Amino acid sequence: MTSYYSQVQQLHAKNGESQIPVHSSEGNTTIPVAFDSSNPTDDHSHIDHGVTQAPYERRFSPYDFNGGTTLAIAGEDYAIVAADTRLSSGYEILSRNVTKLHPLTKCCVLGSAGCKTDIDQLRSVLDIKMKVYHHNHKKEMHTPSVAQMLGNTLYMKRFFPYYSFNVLAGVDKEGKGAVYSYDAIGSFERTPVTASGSGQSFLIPLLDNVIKHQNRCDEYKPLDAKEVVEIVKDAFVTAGERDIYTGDMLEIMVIRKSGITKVEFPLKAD
Amino acid sequence: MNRDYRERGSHAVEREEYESRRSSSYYCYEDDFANDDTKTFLLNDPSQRQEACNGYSCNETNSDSHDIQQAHRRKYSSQAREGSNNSMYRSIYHRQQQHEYYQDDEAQFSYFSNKNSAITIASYVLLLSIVAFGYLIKEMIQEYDNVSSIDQAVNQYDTDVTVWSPEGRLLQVEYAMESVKQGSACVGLRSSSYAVLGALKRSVSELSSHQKKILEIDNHMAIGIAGLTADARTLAKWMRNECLNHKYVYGTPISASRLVTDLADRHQRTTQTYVRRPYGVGLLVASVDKTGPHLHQTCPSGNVYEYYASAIGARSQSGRTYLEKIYQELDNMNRDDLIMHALRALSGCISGDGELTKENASIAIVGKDEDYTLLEGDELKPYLDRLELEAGDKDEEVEDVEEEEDDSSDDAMDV
Repeated sequence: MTSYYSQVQQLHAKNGESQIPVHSSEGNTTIPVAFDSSNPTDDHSHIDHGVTQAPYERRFSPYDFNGGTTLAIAGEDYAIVAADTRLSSGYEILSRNVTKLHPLTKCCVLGSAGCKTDIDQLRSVLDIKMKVYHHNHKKEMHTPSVAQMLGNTLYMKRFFPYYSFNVLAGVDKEGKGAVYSYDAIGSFERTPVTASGSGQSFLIPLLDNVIKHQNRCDEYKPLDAKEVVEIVKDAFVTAGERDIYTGDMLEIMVIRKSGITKVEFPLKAD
Repeated sequence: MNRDYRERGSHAVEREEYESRRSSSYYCYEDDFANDDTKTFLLNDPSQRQEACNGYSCNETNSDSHDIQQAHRRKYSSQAREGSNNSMYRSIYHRQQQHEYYQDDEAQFSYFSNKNSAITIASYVLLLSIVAFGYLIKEMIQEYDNVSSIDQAVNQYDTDVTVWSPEGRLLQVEYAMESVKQGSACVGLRSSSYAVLGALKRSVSELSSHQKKILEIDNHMAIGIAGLTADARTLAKWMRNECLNHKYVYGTPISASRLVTDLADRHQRTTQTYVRRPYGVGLLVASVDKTGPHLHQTCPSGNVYEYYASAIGARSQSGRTYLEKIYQELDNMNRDDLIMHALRALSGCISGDGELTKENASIAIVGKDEDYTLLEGDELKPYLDRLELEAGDKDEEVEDVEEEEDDSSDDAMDV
């Protein structure tokens, strides 16, 4: 003989419901539970943020590429470094007049393209290191030492790098031009010619041919600073035609043992 | 006290006081207890204390309580003898036993039986006189050792920087300021567009180099030092760090008034700590900020003042006197004249027949449009030559006057 209670339970179970009995001092009761989709236990599952149906990976990127191109050429007794002055983000121009060149000593200039805030921070850190060196040694750092120090500073942030693609141009102790090219994490090399930034792919092949005289059949003629400045202007105009992030104004610095001279040249604003 | 203890020796007095203390306050004096466990038990539990004292407070005097004490003792000793397991009562019994012991043997400690009194009095007087004499000798030796220009009484208060003298002076700090006066001279002056520092560099011997006295802090700031060079270098290192930090955080060069205030705080900290000593160096800080050039002077006490012109170090009084005469004309002076004034002030601070040469003079300038520049050696030659010319002109004038005097005396002789 079955009890009334158990009969009721069997009936409910047939209908897809089941009761959990609760015995308390106030009296006995039951909690109905149904294990089908018509009675969801968690109301939140109704609301779909689009994640379950169409999942995608959200990601915050700490870096932004602010565009621009820099270039550096080493000569016999001079070094030339040039950069445009456009600051952009995505398809927008943020400013047409922001410099990418930063003199570190009287004989040494750093040009950087990449994420502007990282570049600014890198410059502040380098300035402090230069000053501390000056206080301790009572003289300015030589360009090869600056190059090494910059490489070390970049590597110190190997696992959260400065998003800064640098070129370093200066004259060494003898007065000869010295140019160093870097990647974002501090690998560097002394090269005769280098470029970095959004327009580097347009500039480097051109400079290989014209300045380094590679893949040419005519005779090599050493170039002096004035000629090279004209070549640099042409190169940037060319790069500006093809690269949307390059334009507005070109700054060229000629570094000699005696000091730094600056030339400005307007570029297209489109 | 019932008995007049003045008649008795000090030893007996001490014992009497100890007795009275113990008998009136069983539970408050830690040294009374031989057993450590009972001590903590009792001291931590005021209720127990109250119960045991049976209403007597711990600070009860025993002036009139001799009888009460007897009753007290009797009560608790009886309880103890009853075999109570309470350790407190056991200890009271223990105490009380000792007390009784002392009481019984009190007669032993009386020093004043008639036959010994004369000898004991004499022996005590002799002992006292020997002790007093020894103390006098010690004082005399101390006074002989402490040779000081300040009143001899203050020597007791000068061993520690944290000790005040009765006149309200910190003598260690004042001695530190004396150290500044031992360093060679350093002068500073400013106009409305430049601040100039001059220093007289000392060399240990003819073979050695001259000690640098002007240090660069930043493009817009320099210090001239007098006193302990090593202390000055520590301060310079700290100041340089502060300047770099400020520029990094705020993007502008730090203003000197802010930096010297922090510097003064650093000095003060060393005058109020037991384990440190004051910095034995005075600084002249020349700087330029957007309000113009400034000259500050710091000293080991932590005082900082701003000056139009100042001089510190050995024989600097003549420098200060000269600067007092000319400081009002400084405002619109040009750069070269400022340097000449600094050199003239410096030349007054040289000892004996020494003179300013390009080896021992150095000048530093910071200006509104000029970063820190140091003039030493050959760069100073034109200024030193000018100084020599001026001195030469003065000498010629003196000689002319002397010759005139001689002529007149000859005339007198001829007549």
